[in-house]
Amino acid sequence: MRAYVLRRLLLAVLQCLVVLVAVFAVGSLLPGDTADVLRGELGTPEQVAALRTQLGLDEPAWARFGHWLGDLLTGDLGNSLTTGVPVGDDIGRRVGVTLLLGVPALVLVTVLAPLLGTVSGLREGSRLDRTLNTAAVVLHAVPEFVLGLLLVASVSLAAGLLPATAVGMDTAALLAQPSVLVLPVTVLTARHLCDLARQIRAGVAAERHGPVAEHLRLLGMRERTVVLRHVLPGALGPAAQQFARCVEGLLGGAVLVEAVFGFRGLGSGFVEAVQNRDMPQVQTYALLFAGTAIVVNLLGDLAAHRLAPRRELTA
Amino acid sequence: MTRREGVTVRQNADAAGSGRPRRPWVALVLLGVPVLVALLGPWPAGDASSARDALPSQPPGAGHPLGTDVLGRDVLWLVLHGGGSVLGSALGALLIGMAAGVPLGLLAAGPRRGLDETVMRGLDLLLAFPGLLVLMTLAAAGHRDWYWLVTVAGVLQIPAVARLVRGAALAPGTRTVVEALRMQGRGWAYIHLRHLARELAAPLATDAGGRFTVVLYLLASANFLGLGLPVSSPDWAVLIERNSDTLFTQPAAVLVPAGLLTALCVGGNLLVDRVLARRRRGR
Repeated sequence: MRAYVLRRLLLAVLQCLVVLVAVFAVGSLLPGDTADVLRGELGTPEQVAALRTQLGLDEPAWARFGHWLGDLLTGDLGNSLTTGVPVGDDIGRRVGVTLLLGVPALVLVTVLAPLLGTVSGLREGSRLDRTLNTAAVVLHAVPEFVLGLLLVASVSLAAGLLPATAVGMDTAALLAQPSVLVLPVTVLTARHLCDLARQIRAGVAAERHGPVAEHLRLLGMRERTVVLRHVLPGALGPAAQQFARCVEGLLGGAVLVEAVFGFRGLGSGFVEAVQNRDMPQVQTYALLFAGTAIVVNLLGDLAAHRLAPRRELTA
Repeated sequence: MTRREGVTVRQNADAAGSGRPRRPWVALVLLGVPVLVALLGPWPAGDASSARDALPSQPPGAGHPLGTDVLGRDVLWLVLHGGGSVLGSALGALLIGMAAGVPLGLLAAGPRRGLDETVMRGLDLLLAFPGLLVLMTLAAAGHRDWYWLVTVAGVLQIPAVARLVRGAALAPGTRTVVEALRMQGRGWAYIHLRHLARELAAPLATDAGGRFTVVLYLLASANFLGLGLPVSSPDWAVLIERNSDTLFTQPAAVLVPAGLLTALCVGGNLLVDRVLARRRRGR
């Protein structure tokens, strides 16, 4: 147990280092550096060179990496190239919107996936199971941006039921009119719910007929106890890893869903930063997203190992 | 064969209570229609876009069976030309992932333990990068050509492919046979290329099916966000993005490419799901 935890922690630390170096490299070692972007096409070569000295861009790469890392650790994320505002402020404004989308989606997935997966797995091969499974495969396969547009076309535009966009709304406005959140949260939930429910279903179906469950039944344990105490933990172990992937996927999904519905959250902030080639912003978003992915996957793997210790390291 | 007939076959088979229908018609039709459109579409549509001078976002009418898009181009012509890039880029990324992942997996499954650890832990590091994030960061750095997208999407598949190959090549049943072959004096090439290839074919093929939809999904999402292909491209994902503002006035320009893209993803996933279910039952 301890050896596994240590090995997994070491991997996470290494992953963080690789991400840091990669993000720094992407932002700093490319031919068109910050000075070029800042001056645009108007600056003369002399001005660009002066700016480069001012920004410390003529230092060797390792020294710049050191400065950058130091700034990062002291919380200085740099200023946006397009607005001049500190990057941290912008992200602070946006984080609420993404949480408003992500947290309800995560709660729905957490509650519904074990429920649907267990119901389906305990009735393996029944009509209900086959219907749920086919629905899950289909819904899982529809790209998030297509599902979003289809829902907007049918529910909002044709039936006139729910608002189609949240353009120009901040966190407070969204809280005042939560109906705006219904469609995007549905889209975010659908894909990961299907994924996780199918995984739990397969686990429940396999564990239910496994040697442990059969043995406990022979000893006279009640079926309900067998399922709740032994079948479910065995099925939830692998699902914990999938759940971690799902949190990571929600971040990617947020990028698409926020683009479709016009939310001003972290996802659309990332897209805007990419379009403006605003490197300090892009770097911060990349670190934020990759860091979240690393931490969440670490927790998922540790939880999976705790629930089903015989599984190999599958980071 | 129309889509509706496929649905009826499936319903009849289910209603008869005979379990799953014997042939996956729905999946094959869902997969077949977009693939046929992508492969054969450019041929009936012809080279030159017929309507450069038409009004933008016109509903279906004379001369334009599916209307026009925001740039005044014929939607039918665009749709018939837009499948090639969707299929081609996904296949290309898949090939890159397999071409690098299979040898790395075999290397890790080889007799040298140190090499195994190095390769697999090295690949684990790659898992720290969520796909869309990498594509977005690269696009911000100026790498927004389609070949960057395809390459990176392929590279991101390497850890999973290598892990699968390593697992399959290490399977206990294979081990004894490989030992026996080695004792018979068969060379490295014979054992790895002929025997293991036969062992690996089935799991790799199934994985490739599932992976194809994963890559397709990733690349379509990237193109929808405007990271890859130019905005004038007839690619289905680009068409959806360009025309999403006119969803209400000219729905065909969004819904037709969206339907084809979805049919491709859903058909592929249904087919893989059936193959997996059969293999699980066969065991």
